[in-house]
Amino acid sequence: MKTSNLSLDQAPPEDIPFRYMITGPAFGMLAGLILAVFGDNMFITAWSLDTVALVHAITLGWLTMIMFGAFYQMVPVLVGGHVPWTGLARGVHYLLTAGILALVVGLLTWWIPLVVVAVILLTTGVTGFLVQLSAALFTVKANKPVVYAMRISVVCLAVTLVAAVLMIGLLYDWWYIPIDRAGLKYLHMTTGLLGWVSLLIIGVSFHVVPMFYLTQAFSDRVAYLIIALITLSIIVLSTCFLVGVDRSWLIAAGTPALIGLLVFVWSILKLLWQRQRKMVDTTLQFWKLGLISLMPAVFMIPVDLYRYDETVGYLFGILFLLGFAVAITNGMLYKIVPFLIWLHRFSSLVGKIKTPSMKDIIGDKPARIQFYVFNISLLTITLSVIFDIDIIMRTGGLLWTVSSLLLLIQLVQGVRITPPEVVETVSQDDFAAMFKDLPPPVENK
Amino acid sequence: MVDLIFKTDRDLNIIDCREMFPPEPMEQVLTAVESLSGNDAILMVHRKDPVPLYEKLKERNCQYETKISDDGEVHVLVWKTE
Repeated sequence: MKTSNLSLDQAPPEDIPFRYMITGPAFGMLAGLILAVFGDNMFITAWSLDTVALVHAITLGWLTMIMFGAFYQMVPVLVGGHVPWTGLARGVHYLLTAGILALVVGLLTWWIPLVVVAVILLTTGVTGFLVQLSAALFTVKANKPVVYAMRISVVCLAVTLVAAVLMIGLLYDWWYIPIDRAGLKYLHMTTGLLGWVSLLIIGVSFHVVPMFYLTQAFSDRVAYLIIALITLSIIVLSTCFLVGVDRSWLIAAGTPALIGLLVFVWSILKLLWQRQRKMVDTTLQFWKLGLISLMPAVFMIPVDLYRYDETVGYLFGILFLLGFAVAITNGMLYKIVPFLIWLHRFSSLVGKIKTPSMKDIIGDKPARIQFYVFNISLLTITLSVIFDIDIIMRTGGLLWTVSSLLLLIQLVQGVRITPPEVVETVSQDDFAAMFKDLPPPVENK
Repeated sequence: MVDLIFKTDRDLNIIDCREMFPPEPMEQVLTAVESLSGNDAILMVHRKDPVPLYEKLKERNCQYETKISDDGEVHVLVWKTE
């Protein structure tokens, strides 16, 4: 038997997670619009700056934005970490938002000064985040898998940033380093997608899946195994990319991560299948979509390495980014945002008024409509890449914009809900206590 | 069935939250706190450490103690400050 060592005293004010979680879908709209406007020009070559712009509208604009919000909220609550200088999170948000916009526009227009501005803004913002979160995560007692997953995820973000800055410097001849640019690109992708994105989603899911869907607890032993397998691949793959090795070695190096991701998918699906109260809501559908998309996605990488077919690479990008990471974060927003609204604004009123349920704050029906639109956009974009049909690709982009807009509207409507004014009533005992020090009334004679 | 970890002389109102979806556990406990008095105490039994609840309990002049069993079940004892 042990005692609790967690405290919510350091949890951030509500505006901090909300500002990140609302900005994410706004960048989703931007990413969809880019695809709708540029169509199949986006998929001429993975090295094209247009493609890089689209990818970063998703990875930074949607994913990193929401993940930063999740880190600021969850590190104090989930692992008991003290995030210093909480207010700095607002500055990081401004830097990140401006930096992503500058990067996307700079890359799409090939306007180098804007890319330079983006690099400065993003490096400053992400460094601020890294300092805050490292201080929190590396001082807390590491007694559960999520702590390790978050630590490795944050370290991977740092490596991803360094690789990105080095790569841009090489691209624009700012400096010379004896590392191949392609090697840096794959290092950046490995630490970014496998480390930063996957490990955070996986680590957080160890807790939020049992919490929100009433499943059995995720086995710590399996959780550590998954983290170890993915981390092993990240280290070996990163080394391979820096020194340059044959493709067959890369497939071998990535195999532990592939196994780890499949064990993760299997374990979560099994937990969901075995739960006692089988309530199905839209967030669960997003989870299932995300897990099902991840399965083919993980096999795309070895196939791409073996065949070197760019279409396979694009399909990996779509299934991993949209199908897995965006779908799961999208679903979690429907759980986390109404929960935080309820916690911050209504929990103090329990017993005084009838408080709304989470479904009253953000309804399931509009969420379901958004889920369908998202599915159609995912299917449309996937088919358009396979058959290389420009008009379908543009339609898919437009549908993703609509899907993100629907999510954004629901989140904003939720955040705008304010609790009613409650008139404090005074109990009989408190009323008597107010007069206890008064002298007794003078008797009339 | 709840195996009690706490030994207490207080009259216990046991709230079993193990099969409740969030935020129902917090809602149930805070509602029960409203009628808590004298030698009463609430025993919340949960699958997770209900961290967000603690601040709300402090706001309502409640004290609490949390113990976690070897199989991970969380028991929170809540009583009013005298």
